[in-house]
Amino acid sequence: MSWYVSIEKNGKIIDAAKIGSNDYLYSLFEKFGFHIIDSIYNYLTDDEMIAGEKNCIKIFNQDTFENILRFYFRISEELFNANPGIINDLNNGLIYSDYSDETWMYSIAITISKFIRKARAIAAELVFRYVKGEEIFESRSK
Amino acid sequence: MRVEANEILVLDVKKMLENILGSKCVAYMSDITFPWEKNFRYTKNRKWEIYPIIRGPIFSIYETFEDIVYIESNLLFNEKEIISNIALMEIKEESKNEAIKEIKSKIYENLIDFIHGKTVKIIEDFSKRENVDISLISDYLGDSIVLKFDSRNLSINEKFSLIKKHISILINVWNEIMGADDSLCRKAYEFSLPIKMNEDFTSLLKKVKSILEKNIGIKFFIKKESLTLFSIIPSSENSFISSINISPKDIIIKSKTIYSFWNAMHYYTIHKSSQKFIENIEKRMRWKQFNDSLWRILNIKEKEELESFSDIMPEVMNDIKQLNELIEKINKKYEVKLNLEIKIHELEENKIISIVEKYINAIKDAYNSSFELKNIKEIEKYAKEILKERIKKEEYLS
Repeated sequence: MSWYVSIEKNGKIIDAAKIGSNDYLYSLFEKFGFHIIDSIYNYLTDDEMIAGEKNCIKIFNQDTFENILRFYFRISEELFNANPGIINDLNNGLIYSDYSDETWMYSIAITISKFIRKARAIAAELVFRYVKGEEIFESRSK
Repeated sequence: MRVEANEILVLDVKKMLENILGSKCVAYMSDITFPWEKNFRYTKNRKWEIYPIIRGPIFSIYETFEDIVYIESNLLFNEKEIISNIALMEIKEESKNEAIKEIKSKIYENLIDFIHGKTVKIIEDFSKRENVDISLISDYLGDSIVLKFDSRNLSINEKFSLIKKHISILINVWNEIMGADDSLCRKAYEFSLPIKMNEDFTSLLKKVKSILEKNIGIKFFIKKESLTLFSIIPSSENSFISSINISPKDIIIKSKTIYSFWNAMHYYTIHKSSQKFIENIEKRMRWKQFNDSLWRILNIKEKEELESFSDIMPEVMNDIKQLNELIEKINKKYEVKLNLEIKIHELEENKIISIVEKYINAIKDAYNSSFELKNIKEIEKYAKEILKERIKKEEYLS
């Protein structure tokens, strides 16, 4: 089971990315002081709360897009300012599999930010799900 | 130059699609790709993508960096939406249950066979006749039609005319599937669109939430419990309402626990009769029985069972009696009956809102008045002491 972020429109998945397991995200929360998924609940509107389900958060309002984009931008900026060397190495393709908590968190924050911009541009939903990925996302790659 | 050429193509395709569908479309062109993205993403970046705003035969048109152009249809049906809509209809339209059963058996139970039988045949016929690559793709919620072609070495004009041809074929395939003899597929598609009932219901949810916030003065959150059940919960402990459960059928308002039987039990055993209690084995066994069945007797329906323990806890029984008397008074005062569900079926929204407001005031009164009762006051005091001791212990241990 893992948290995934996806861009969805009319029930179809357009883009999907893996974020991490609950345990890993909790360990990041203990280290950095904020939870990369739970924090989203602070920005949701009533309509988004109604649309969401157990282990599933749906975002489609422009204000929420703006607010969570700011939240993830702040995370990536702070991580970059604290670790400019390794983040530059990461963006230059010099880090392949030896991820640290900082580079992992930075990658997640940037991926989600990219997804938010795209979802906003094409009037789609941004969806976070805690699922077995192969059931929904992994079989879709073309 | 390559990007510029793509921009011209995208704008031309977008305009053409808008003319065909008679509705606006949105275009998206891929931005920077980071080297680490492949470790996270399940989908590859596309050179460009176009999406119609309206829901219809065309879902998207896009070109990948591997030079393949895809033309995708919307889902022919959305299994989850169908289940959700049928569940809502079953609740709202109790009198038409037979009709819903028929829809269920005709649409849902035969859906997969129908799509994979008739649709595959239509797609094969078109593929042969038009000499194009068409396939049926199964997503986790439903099926859609996908056409694709290799765009390598094609000029912009050639790409444009091939896209135009493929759009036209996809629309024809879609129309043939939707117009097939028994038109089950069209019904399934129509059943996959969110029904209006959802909008009425969400409006009610938001109004109830706003009444709670106005009357209690703290923020409340809406939480989806299941397809047809929602709860509205307070953001802090400082609320006499613990939650409100709302379905299209009824509303259940729950107050915060007025009286803790656990605290009462500890209170009477430890502070009032601890010595006698320890000496009397028979009585100790009765307490054990009471303890074991506590989860059941806290349910209002098991009141008689609770009364059977009156010999070991007369004070608790007295508290319950006093609470019942108090609630009777409140019920009379507000003309409501606490601990009962509000049936909202076929009631107008304004009527529902005024009933909810009445209940909130009644619960507020009952909650505040209960603390005037002597025993509850003592138990509350005792519970606070216990809490203080616990905090002290935790602080000491940490």
